Amino acid sequence: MRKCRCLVFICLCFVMCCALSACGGQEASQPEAGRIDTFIIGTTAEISSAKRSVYNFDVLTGTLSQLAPVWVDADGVYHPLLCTYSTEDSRTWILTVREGMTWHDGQPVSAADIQFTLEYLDSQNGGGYADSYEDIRLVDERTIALELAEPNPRHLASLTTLRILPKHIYQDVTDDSALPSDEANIGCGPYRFVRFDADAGVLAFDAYDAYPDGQPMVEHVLFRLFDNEDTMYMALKSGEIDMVYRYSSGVSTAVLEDLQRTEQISLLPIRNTANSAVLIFNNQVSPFDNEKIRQALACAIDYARFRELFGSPYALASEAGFIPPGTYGYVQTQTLERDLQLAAAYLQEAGCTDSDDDGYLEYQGQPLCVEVMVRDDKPVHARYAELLMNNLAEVGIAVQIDVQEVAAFRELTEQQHAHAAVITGLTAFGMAKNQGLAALYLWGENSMSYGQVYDEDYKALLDQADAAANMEEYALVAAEIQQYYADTLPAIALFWDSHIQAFNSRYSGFVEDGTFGLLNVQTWFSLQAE
Amino acid sequence: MKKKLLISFFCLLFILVFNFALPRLLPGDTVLMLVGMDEDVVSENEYAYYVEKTGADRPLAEQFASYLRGILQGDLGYSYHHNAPVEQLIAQRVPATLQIALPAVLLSALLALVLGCYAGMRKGSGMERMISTLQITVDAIPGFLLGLLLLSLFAFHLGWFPSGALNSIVVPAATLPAWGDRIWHLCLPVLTLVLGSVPAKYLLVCNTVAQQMQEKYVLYARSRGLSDSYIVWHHILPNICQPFIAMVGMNMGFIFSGSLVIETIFSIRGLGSLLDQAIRSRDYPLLQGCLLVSAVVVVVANLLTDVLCVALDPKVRCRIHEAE
Repeated sequence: MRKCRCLVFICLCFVMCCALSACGGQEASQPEAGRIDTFIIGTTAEISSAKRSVYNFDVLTGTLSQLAPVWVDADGVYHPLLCTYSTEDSRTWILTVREGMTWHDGQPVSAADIQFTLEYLDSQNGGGYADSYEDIRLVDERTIALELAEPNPRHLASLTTLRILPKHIYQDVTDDSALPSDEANIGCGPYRFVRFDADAGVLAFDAYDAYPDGQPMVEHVLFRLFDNEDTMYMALKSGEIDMVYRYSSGVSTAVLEDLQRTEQISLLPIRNTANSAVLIFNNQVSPFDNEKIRQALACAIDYARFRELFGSPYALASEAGFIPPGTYGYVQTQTLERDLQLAAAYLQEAGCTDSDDDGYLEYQGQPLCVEVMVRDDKPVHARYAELLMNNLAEVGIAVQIDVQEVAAFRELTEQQHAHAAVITGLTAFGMAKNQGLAALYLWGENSMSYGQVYDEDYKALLDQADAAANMEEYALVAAEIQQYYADTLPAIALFWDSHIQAFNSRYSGFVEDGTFGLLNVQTWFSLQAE
Repeated sequence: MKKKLLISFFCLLFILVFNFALPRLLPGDTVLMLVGMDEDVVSENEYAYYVEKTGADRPLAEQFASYLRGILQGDLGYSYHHNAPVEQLIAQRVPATLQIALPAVLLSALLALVLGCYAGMRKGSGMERMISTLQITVDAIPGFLLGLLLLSLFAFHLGWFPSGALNSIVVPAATLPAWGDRIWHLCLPVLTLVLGSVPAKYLLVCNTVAQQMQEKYVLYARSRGLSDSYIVWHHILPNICQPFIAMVGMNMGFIFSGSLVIETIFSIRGLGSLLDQAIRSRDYPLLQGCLLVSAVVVVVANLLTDVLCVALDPKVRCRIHEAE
């Protein structure tokens, strides 16, 4: 009996040893003569399958294997990527596919692929691509002319995320899930898609030998998919992954301090043209239809405390012009600062009094109580509202926080405009939409207008932005629009913050892209390992 | 036994009715709830399509009959977020969950039984106090924290185990090393679930064994010169197996739901993470499917434990025999 037990124990030990030795660890990144063999990126992006219709997968492939016609740098300047471009009147845009660009199956990329992509995306998404042009003409094998109905100097902005599809693969495909993933993911970037392993939580890409700009610095790029941020940051600290990435976002401020203390991790702030903490007034309803009240609120907010409590060490003081630095056409306006005396003076000018001496003001015979709506899926927005409540109580304004479920929030704000004020975050994409400069969120006739601004002066400025013949003209109007915001304060940025990117300190040479941040085609050609 | 079967049947029926009623009772548009879409992203044409697809314009009884027919045919609905049938999504994820849940149930039961018997025989001794204190301490640690602690220690500091997923980036080609790789990856998530579910079972076994040790049959057995371990395994265990097996059955449900947290921490794409996605994206058809599967697992596990109790416990067999 005793011998039998010993035998079982020895067998168990042997099996465990076999198991452990068989999987003695993952392949480490081994730099070779300045080049990098494997670069592993951790992400919490949810990817269920390797299909282009899966948003997060499509975004990640846009940094490696699928190319858009152009890319935009951190200063808002556009550069050729898949195509070179030219225009004489900002109305007709000529795109020419760069010499030597081929699909990963060897077929050359042609202008017909661009035309096909626009038409295909229209059929899949119900419009907004080919139908946004008045005319699309194939000039030659590699050149296409896209003609807009009106001149638009900012048109290239919409081409930075238009990832071109291979016509010869997709022309008879209505549902991309029917395509095998190796075919569906044929791209034309410096990397080709290799595999998606759901059990290992890995997306793998290998360098594409025939890319016309030569071999990228990294041979294999792997994405490790994490469901949990804490695990991902632990993996970064232990060196298991080389970098963390999330599209249009940065490292969570909660872990910044810890990462800063870790020697082998580098943090790099990159420009953020999103406005991630804003207070937007409904400029059509009382009391926010009164400019003096808006001015008073702007003076009562403790911006330094907002940065201290919620911002990263790289957070910036916001300005009255509302548009963050890094946005094309940004001009510096007055920095927002707390001044309680000035706030009290504005409130007095607006006709606010404290007739019952309870410490809270009345406006037009009613208690001055401001209702601020926030979404329930963004708990930090409720925290902003709580600090705002404390700040405004000091000047005698009561704040009521209204937490709404996302669908109800959208219905009440975007459809019914039944809000008095909202605290929310505005995406970089949304900030740049329509005429740019947050017009989508502020001009009253737009679908997502939280600001409900119907001022004719503002409308005239937006029309001028639409009519700008080139980027220089647009920049002049942009400056005027920011001055308009600074003068009338239809919305207030509570603070501005950078997207902090974290990566292993042994890497350098990252290039900043205005769309994708540090992960982009340029980075793969300049990345260096120590 | 018939009574147990009837209870299980009514439980299942109640779950089905509840599952059917849930999206229809929620405030808001029933059609949008049934497809898990927000009003602002659905056009009029799409809405009309969804009405026809879900049959929400038909009488409630007709809808319920169609729902039951679908369930019996294995049709759990359609996830418009994933663009795939719910049963297909669940079937893809269940194996991963079972790979964690089943070993965790078995190992935790075994560990609780061994530790519980050992400590129960020595109730009041220093060793029993130490084991009990340790179990109560572990029980007080939330599952996600326990998972993160184990991960931090064994994966990131010691490097003994991988930090997540079900296999390595490059899986060994040969079968045996591939199996080893999978077992290596399962160690930490299973350990987390085991540690979290042992204490309750351990305390039950420990206390019931200590109680049984005072019974006369144990005294007689001792007087016959039988060893304590023989008495525990051959005489006490059959007497305490009924509540223990019932508890293991109940534990199946806990481990299924508990694996939600564990799967998230260890980045394992199982039923738990699917449920998590469904909750976050308000994908009600998928949510209903996941809840139905979890509920059915609990009911079936309880029924199986009842059957097992009958098979193992002579007293229960005798009672059934007498009743017949």
